[in-house]
Amino acid sequence: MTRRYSFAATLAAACAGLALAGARPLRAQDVRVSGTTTVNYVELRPLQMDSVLAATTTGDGVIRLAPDGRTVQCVDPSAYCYLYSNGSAISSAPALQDLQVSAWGFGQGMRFYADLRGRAVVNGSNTLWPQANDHFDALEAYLEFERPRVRVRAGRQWDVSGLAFNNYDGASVQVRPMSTLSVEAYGGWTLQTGLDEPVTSGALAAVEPYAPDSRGLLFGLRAQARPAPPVWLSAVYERSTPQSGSGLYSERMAADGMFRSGGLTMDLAAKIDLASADLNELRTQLLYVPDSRWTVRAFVRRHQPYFDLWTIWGAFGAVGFVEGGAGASWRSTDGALSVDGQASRRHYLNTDAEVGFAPIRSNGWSLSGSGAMRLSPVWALDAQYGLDLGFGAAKSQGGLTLRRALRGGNSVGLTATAFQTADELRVNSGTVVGLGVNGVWRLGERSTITGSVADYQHAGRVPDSGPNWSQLRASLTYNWTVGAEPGLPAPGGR
Amino acid sequence: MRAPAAVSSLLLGLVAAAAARTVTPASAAPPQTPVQDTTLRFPHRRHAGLFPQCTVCHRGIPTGDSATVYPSPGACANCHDGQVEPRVGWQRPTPLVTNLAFSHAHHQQSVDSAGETIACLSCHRTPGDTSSMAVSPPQPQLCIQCHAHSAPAHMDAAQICATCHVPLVRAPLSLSQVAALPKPADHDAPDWVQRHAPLSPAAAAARCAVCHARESCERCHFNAARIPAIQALQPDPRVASLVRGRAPVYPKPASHDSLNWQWKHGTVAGGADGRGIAVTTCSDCHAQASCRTCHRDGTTPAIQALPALRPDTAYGVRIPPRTIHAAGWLKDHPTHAAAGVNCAACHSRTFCVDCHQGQKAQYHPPDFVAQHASEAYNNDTQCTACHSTEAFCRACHLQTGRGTRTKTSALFHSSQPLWLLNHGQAARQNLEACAACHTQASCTQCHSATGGWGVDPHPPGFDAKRAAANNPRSCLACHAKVPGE
Repeated sequence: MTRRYSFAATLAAACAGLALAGARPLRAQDVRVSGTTTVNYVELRPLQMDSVLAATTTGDGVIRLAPDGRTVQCVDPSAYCYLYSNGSAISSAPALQDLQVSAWGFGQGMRFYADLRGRAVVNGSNTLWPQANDHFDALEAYLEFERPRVRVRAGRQWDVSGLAFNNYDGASVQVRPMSTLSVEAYGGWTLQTGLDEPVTSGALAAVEPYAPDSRGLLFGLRAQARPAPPVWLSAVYERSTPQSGSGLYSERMAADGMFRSGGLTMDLAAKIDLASADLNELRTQLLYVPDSRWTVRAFVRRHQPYFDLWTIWGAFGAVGFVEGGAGASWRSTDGALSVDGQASRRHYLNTDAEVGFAPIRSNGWSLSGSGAMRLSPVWALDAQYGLDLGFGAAKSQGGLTLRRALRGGNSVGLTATAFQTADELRVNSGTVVGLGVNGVWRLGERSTITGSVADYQHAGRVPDSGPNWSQLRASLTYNWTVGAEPGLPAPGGR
Repeated sequence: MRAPAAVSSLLLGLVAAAAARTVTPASAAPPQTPVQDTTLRFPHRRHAGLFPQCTVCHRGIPTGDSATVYPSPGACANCHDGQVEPRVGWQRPTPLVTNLAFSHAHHQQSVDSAGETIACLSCHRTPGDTSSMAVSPPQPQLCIQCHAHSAPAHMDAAQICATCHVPLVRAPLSLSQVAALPKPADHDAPDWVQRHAPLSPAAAAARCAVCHARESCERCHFNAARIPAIQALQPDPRVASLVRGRAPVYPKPASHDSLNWQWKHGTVAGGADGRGIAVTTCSDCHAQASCRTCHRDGTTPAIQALPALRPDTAYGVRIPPRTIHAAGWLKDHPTHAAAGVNCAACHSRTFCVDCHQGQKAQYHPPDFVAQHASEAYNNDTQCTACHSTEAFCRACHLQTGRGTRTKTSALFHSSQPLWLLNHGQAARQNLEACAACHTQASCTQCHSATGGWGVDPHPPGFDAKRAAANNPRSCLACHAKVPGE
């Protein structure tokens, strides 16, 4: 077990203990604890490099055939030709334990909240599941003071804006001078998205030799306004600098807006990298609901990837793409039948790196369709199909799910899927067919078990032409909540 | 009108003769019928002319003495003595059980006090028959000839039922009789459920209470305790028995199918004072549980104004969890959430975190690991919104042989024979995908001014000074010194 107890995690544990132990002596109104226990089983076949003697291959040039028919790559004057082959299947059974603790009663408007996560591998490989060796994380842990016009938080908390959904260690002050306007200032130390650790984390250094050695300091300003009932607007500015003080890690802003009138909704979103003067995202969508059955939508967007300034990626001139698409959905009046379809096309901008005589594809398009049918009060059928062809990867995938509702909100389902894929600019072959069962079982008002198991077989493969996706997957999740629900009536009503 | 005294004996004889024909043998008990017995077993016509007045036999009618409403067996024997007329086994019939609020004595007093007169045959005459003993049970239409009010028919919607009928709770009807009570025609109207509410408790007592008890309403109205018209009805165990197990009926108003009802209903329910019509209209069908299907916090005044369910009440409209958001919401919600739409009205924070923390098992299908490449390339949903490119994507790719820390070769990208030439275009089109497998050091082995092949990776018009000012350390990955220094 690696020692990765961050300051925030220690603080979270201490505060949680204080809240639980001290809440009652401090005349706390109550404490609520929710938990989610998840155990997964995953299998995967890693790719490994293999070789054959070049002299045994047939053909000329870089791509040749090995004696057994496998495609190999030969680079003269090497005596060997190389290929990727599938290794033996490895498996892992990672377990996650999430715990949310909320305690109040320290004073009017005071609350402590923590969202904690523990990880362990029950069986199998402890490197297959990402971050399986990181046994403890604090996703959130903060003290909060909230009144009608102001909210103050200190600790680890989420930064939710048009820029990102990630957490940070610090403090925030939100002022709501009126019900239609809020302004928030926040700052502290940055945490990496999905990692809950700073940029100096060993988890990052293990996979990135150029990881920085200085934590990032964060400062942000965010405003949200609703100038009129059908209009929502927000803007955010964020700046992250190395704690050492030299340079920037990021400086960005985002603006989002939504306008709704009658059956028409228009969304606008923009993200700008101020440091690099790049427009990372510009997106607009029109959604029209002419009646309770139909929904029609169309969107246009321009995307250019964003990279933190401590990386060199920004210097490589990524261009991104423009995309347009449209879709429609229809639902019967009684809701028993619904269908949806969407098509979109994207086109990558000029890279100034095309090879004139052998360009690679610079566009792509997607098609998708889905339908849901309520066969009877207890039986439901879902179907979906997706086709994605374009630069980089391609996929044709479909699935059917038959679900039966049981008493008490429980359900069981049977799922069948099939897909073909070509990915990472590699040759692939065959079809992966999967069959699985899943279900939801409510143990009570506030506890639920969700489970699924599925087996996938990769049929029709040309041996070692690509990854073998045959695998078994299973998941079991137990959700529970104990304690009071502030502001809600006790089970059974007031 | 009183019959002349001169024919009383004749009428008596006729009554006796009629009774001899139709009276059942003394050994058989009269059958108990569940509905009002509309046949008269005494042959009044045969006794026509024998009795000058009805009250000769039915002495208790004008006085209200129930013991003498019908003649005693001895009265028939005056003629049916076996010599004048054959003996008959006359038995007083079992009084009919009805819910009529009718008293002959009171009715007579009312008529007398009004200065009017009324004969027995005014109500008890067989329709269409003018003979003197054409007697039959009274029909409601005959009552309405005088007591028409504003309603032309017996069970017309405007009828005041309480004029003639006692409330059900006071009616000595059996369970089967209560179940067989006739239904007014307006109750079969398609929109009856929407408009059945009486205007006042008095109106409920005047009409509804004749056939219904409080349990009739509580079958659907879990808010019965708040409705005066329902409280005006009394509880009745017979009705409770009949409605037990019957599902409530909650028809959907046309407004609920209107455009964007899912967005408008809050304003409609809340109203200017925040409680709006929630208390009076929504609560007829919706309890707080209806709203909490979506509105998890349930603290808005309109929701608080609704009644909470109790185990012993109807369950109200059950709203199954449904897709409130339009198709494509997974891709669209970032803008809405960022713009400030109140997600917390329906979702708790953990709902968002579960996905955005990158480890929600149910967000991606179980076999997503095999399919995710195309999703990553088309950027349909941004992977980086939830996942760390380095610690999540690259870490897994390195573990499974798809990533590389330093050494690169074209072998992996087997569909591109000229990868060495093509990778520049591929990288600029989707550098995020490259970074998911390659470390920065992978690129510097060629694209470095210090130790690589010196291939310039910068695009045309690259602002080196700006890049150096932003973060000079990143420049030193490839350059011996910061450009511009």
